[in-house]
Amino acid sequence: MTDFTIVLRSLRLRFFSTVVTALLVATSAGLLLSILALRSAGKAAFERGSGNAHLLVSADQSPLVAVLNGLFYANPPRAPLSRAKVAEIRSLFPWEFVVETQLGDSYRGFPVLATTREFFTRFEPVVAQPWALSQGGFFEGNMQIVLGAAVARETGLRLGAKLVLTHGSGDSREHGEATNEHRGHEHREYEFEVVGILDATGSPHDRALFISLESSWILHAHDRREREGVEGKVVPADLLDEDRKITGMLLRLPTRSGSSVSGALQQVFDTLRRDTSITVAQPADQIDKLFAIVSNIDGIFIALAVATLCSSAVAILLSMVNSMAERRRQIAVLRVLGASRARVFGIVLTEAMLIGFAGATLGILLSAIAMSVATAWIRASLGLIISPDFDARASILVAAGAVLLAALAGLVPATLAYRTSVAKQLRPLG
Amino acid sequence: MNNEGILSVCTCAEVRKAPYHVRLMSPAASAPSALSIRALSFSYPARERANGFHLSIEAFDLARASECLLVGRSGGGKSTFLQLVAGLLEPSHGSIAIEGVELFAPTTNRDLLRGAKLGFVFQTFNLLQGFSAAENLLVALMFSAIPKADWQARSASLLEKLGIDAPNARVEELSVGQQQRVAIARSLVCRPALVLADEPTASLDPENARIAIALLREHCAAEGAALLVVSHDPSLVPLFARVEQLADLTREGATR
Repeated sequence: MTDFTIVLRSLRLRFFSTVVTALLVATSAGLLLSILALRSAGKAAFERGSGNAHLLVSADQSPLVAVLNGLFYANPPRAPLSRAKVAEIRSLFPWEFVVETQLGDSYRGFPVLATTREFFTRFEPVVAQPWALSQGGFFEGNMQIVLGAAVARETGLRLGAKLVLTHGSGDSREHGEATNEHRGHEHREYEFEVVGILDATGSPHDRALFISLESSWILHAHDRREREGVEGKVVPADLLDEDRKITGMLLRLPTRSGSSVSGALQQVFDTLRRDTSITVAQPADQIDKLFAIVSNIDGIFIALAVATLCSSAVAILLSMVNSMAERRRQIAVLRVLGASRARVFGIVLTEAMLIGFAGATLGILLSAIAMSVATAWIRASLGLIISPDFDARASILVAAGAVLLAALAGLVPATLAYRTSVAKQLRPLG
Repeated sequence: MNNEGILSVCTCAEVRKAPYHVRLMSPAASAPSALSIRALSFSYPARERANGFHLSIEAFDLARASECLLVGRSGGGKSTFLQLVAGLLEPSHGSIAIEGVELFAPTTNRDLLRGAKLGFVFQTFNLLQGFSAAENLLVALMFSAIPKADWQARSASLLEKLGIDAPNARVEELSVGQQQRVAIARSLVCRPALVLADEPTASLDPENARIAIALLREHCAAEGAALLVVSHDPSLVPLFARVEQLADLTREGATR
């Protein structure tokens, strides 16, 4: 028999209120931990999606928009880069790779990225994780299309399937049919054949389709020729310079073996930035900036979770104070058996801390379950792989905070216990 | 005065002259009384007792292994007297010593003394709910001077002696009679010098009351503990060799 046994017996006697109070602490601690974990995991997921390109060049209004459009397919870029500018940038430095891209078409709401073969052979959607195919191969020629993993899953398209693309963003990404207002015209004259399906990368690329640049140029040359009154299918020889539009460039500088960082990056970045006709962005930096912007919202969520944790401490206080009426006699008996005031104070305080500790432990478990559910949902619906690693430090801090708050809440009932008049409680003695 | 515990009424002058130690007041200096009271005076604060209750006892001794029934009318101060002896109330003047240890001396840890030297039996038992019979004894042992290694054996032995056949049952699952026995066992488990019983039979029928008192007396004697029973039940009077009227012990204060 120890003081701790007395604490456990006392909690068992008030089983219902103990469990409810511990669940309140668990919910708030779990909420706080989940927000903290998802915040860092969300950032990691975005960083993951930025791939191994050091720089992204486009004609967007700002670097952040360039990254959101060029790598996260938020919207088609506002304007193309000129052919001369693309050639100039290509020749400016000894790049490790230059991948030209063009966005503008879609299929059932999923963006279609027109690019070169280097997009698959040099660009890595996730650092140190090259593209892999689950079926088929990459496009070898025109009118061939490769599907991201999420697109294949959601559309049910298989190898050999034929499809036509929509000019513009087309319909909603979540619903099959678009309103006329948002529907772009379909390039019905040119059918694409599915030649490959990519493995999931856990990046936004999973929700895109990929065709060759020349295929895209042919579609748009067809539109131009229609406007000019020229009929018939377009062949590569019909393409003019104005058809060969590039909306973005993914660039990577040479690095030392085993390193992903280039010593020349800042200098190159500064050089390109001086050119006001283009927008140049370092994807990783822009992700940092994006999260710096949303961190204020994070702060509000965290503050709300902390407030919930504090209110659960108040619940501990109320529950224990309410139980004091029935406990005073027990405390008086302990005192009469020889327990000092300090010891009784310690027993009641330990009860509060134990509720806090049990709640926090349960909260860590709840948080782990909630995060695994959320991760699966985000992966299924957004194609983002969120990996909320168990953060031992945050868990310990939250648990310690919960125990500390519970201890503060326990001070009131512990003081009431300390001040319990044995003579009054046992009057008449018996 | 002898060491079997005889009420001694001293004059105030005699008490003041005596050194502040009960052993010097006792003729049997070799064996301190289980309980020794000298020139005790106590008043409730006016806010607690409107009638200005005042208790004053010149001298009272109870030897180890002896027993005494203290009777008195309801509201006469019996419980107050026990609370003073338990160190739960602090007297205005005078001294109370348990086995020669002055209860209200600045150097005395009253909680430790209470846990080690005193046992209590209450009218409604005041067992710890949610605890088993054995655990009720173990909780008492936590605050005693008995080594931890002996706790299990000590509690099991006492419960067996008192006929508790389900020591691991929660006390609220036991019959009233069994609870009474557990309460008696708890009062004795720490080998106290003195057991204080406040109206131990008030909630029992006459037959169970007789059994309870018999058990209490028998086991206090067996453990060598003095027994001080406070009751207003006249049926107990014939059972005790020494019976004191509280009214005889007290000096009526000016307010009464």
